[in-house]
Amino acid sequence: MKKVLLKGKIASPGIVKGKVRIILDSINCHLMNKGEILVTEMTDPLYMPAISKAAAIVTDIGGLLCHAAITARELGIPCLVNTKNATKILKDSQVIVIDAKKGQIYED
Amino acid sequence: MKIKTILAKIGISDNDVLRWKKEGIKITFPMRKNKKFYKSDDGIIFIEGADKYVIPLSEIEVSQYIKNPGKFKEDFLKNLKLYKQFCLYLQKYIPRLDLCDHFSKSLALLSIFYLFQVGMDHHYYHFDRYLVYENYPQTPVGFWWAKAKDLYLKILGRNKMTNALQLGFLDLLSDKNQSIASQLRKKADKKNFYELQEALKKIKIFEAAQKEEIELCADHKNKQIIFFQIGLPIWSGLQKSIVKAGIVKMNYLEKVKEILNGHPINGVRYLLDQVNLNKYFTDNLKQELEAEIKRWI
Repeated sequence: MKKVLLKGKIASPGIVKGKVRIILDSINCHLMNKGEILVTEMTDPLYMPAISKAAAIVTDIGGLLCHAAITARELGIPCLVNTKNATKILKDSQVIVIDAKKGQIYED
Repeated sequence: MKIKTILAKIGISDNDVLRWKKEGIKITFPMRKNKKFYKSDDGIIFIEGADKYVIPLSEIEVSQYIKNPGKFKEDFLKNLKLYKQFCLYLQKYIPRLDLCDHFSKSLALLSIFYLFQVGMDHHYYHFDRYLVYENYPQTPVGFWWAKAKDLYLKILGRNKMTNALQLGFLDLLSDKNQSIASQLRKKADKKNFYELQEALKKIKIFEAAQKEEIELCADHKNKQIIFFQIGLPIWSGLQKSIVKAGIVKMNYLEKVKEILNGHPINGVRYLLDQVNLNKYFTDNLKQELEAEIKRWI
């Protein structure tokens, strides 16, 4: 049984596996690689360069009408919000599974 | 002869203040916690801190915005634009503080941060806070969220939201709406289906408000959120000047330094809340700060 690293609110459903990319300042969006999982405190339009490459989005805070949630639903990519501390628990390049059907993040 | 307040000394005249008040800028004093506030489940740091100080929607506003979410969006964005202009205006005066002594600089920065934060509470958080309350049917977003969910369950002949049903509901809100909507149309009577579509349209108005809000706050050229751009330098200015300013009571100096090393929004609450303003700061500072803020009321 896979270890559950975090739980969050399902803002956009889906299941995806990928590498974590933690971006705490939108000025670092260029560090995002295609297919990675964007992990941040919360998103805004300045994060679009990273979001457009992301396979999924995970945020520390936010509700179902936050920017990350709305954008993820528009793009059809999984999104978990309100994980509280994904940016602290997860590590860059860590391979994880985002299960935005159960609202959980597993270690791969 | 009327004594000039600190911001008047750096060029913000009584006429300027009057002009902003006529434009609709609302400032209240003192800053105090509300007794009743909705606690949201997205809370970390400043979000929960903001809850207690944010001026809540009045009963009339709640009723009006439930009936007409378009009015919520209109009022929210109008207030946000006004607040943004106000912050940009205040920002112009900060470089003038470079020539001030530590006392004057700290007093001015505290005054500006007070106006910045309380302005945010009245014109930004007052509306924005409510966008996280989808699980609170007594709020405008929550009302339509609950209505849409109830209709969705009714059409499906279910009385409880399961995880799978929740995912379908989220798909309804997305571009998958069309295929899921046509599936629901086959199951539903005309009235229920129509009402569900209407409820979803109302939720979309709140989504649109969120999208426009966040776009208003983003400075794409400098790749920063405007309010961070304005607020963070004020905060760091305070970190540098306040210790030498002689405005903090000696036995609270370490506490104030600790607060200044923390999050700005939480920090300004701690420092300038009615209770702590009296506790941490000298009488001289309090009197001058109060005189300045009362110009704006």
